[in-house]
Formats: sequence, structure tokens, C-alpha cells
Amino acid sequence: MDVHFFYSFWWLIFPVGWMFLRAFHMIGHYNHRNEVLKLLKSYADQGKEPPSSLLETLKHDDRSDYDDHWRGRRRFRGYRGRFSSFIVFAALAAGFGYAGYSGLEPSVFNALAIAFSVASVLMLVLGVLDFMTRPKP
Amino acid sequence: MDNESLAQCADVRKFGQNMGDHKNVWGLLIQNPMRRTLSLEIPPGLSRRNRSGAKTMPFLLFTHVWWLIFPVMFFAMGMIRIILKNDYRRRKLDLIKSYIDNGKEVPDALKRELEQ
Repeated sequence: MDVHFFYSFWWLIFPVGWMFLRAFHMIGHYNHRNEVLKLLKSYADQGKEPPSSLLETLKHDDRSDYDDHWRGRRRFRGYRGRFSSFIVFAALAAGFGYAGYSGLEPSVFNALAIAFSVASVLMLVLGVLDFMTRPKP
Repeated sequence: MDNESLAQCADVRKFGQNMGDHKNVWGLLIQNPMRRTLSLEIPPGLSRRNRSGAKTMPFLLFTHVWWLIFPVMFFAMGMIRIILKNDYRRRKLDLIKSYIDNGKEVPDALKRELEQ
């Protein structure tokens, strides 16, 4: 490893480290909430009334890390929101692609079209994943 | 092509010139728009070079596609988030079912899950 290579990219430690910490935080938070649910379930199985403080913790689910309730209106939550952003990104990619590839010179529109098409594909995959793994009634 | 021109193609500056064709999608994405704004080029003579004097492939790849870390990590985090969220919601519905099976009143905090 060249030492100048590290000098050029040392700052990447911070965003990448933040991403890893965030992933660990998400998994730890998930484990914590699952333990709360297990406790509540054992209370319910024994026919006892669970303590109100335990039920209070469930109310924080709206502000939790991996519930995307903060993302806006109810009809755009979850996989519906991802499918709608897939449509928006695909339309933007088509528009920028037409603008970029109809010209003679390569322009910034080409890069925008490529970036938006990649984003739309990612949104489609995430939406399909959300749709497939959702709890079915 | 002889060995010398191949080595020149592998050099960062020549690489950019060869991939400037607008029909080449990969060259557009990696080179033209990003080159001035995003790419951090290693100063000449400072990076590791192979026997013919060209920069080695891992350096070329990473110096040009380092920004791919961000979309790829965004995608991976989104997948983790979706899987954990749906698993948690399934467990919550199981808890509601066990309340109903025992013939007890479902607490208000859990009822909000049903409204969503």
C-alpha cells in the first residue's frame, strides 16, 4: 500500500466508519426491540398484565431507525414509496437521457441519466424486497 | 499494439483520453463528468507502478470508482433496514395474535401497528 494512497483517501475513514457504526446500531436496536417483544409475549402467555413502562417503549417505534414513518404521508411509506420513487427516477433518467444523447457532444445530462437510472433500479430492487418480506395478513 | 502503447493506455491520463467517446457509457460515468470534480488523482511518480511504468490496476480502479462506496453502502443499508423492519413487524403481529388467542384486550400501543 502506497503511503500517498492513504494520504489521498484518509477522509473516507469517516463516512465509511459512520456507515458501519450505523449498521451495528441498527442491528443492536433491532435486538433490543425484539427482547421487549419477547418479554411482552411471555407476559401475555401467562395471562398477566404487562407493566405500562414496557408498553410505553413500543410508542417510540414511530421514531425508530428502520421504520420509515418519518418519510412523509402514509400512502408513500414502505414499498409503495419505493415504487413511486422508482417511477420518478426512471422518468428523470428518460428525460435526461433524451436531453443528453440527442445532442452531439457528451454533456452532464448523460451522467445525470446514468445516475438516475441506477437510482431507479436500486429503488425497484428495494421495493421488491420490501414487498416480498412484508408481513402478510 | 506494442507493449509501450499498452502501458500508455493504462496510464491514468491516457486512459481518460481514450474513454472520452460518448457512446462509451462506462467512460462517461467514470471519466468525463466525474474527472474534474470527484476524482482524486495521485500525483505522477508517487503511486506504485509496474515493470513497464504504468500504474497498477487496483490504484486505477479505486482512484476512479471510490465514490461507488456511497451508493453501494446506501443499497446495503437499505436492504438491512427493510429486512429488520419487516421481521420486527411480523413479530409484533405474532404478539397481537397471542393476546387475541388468550382472549385478552390488545394494548393501545400494539393497536397502532394494526392501523398502519
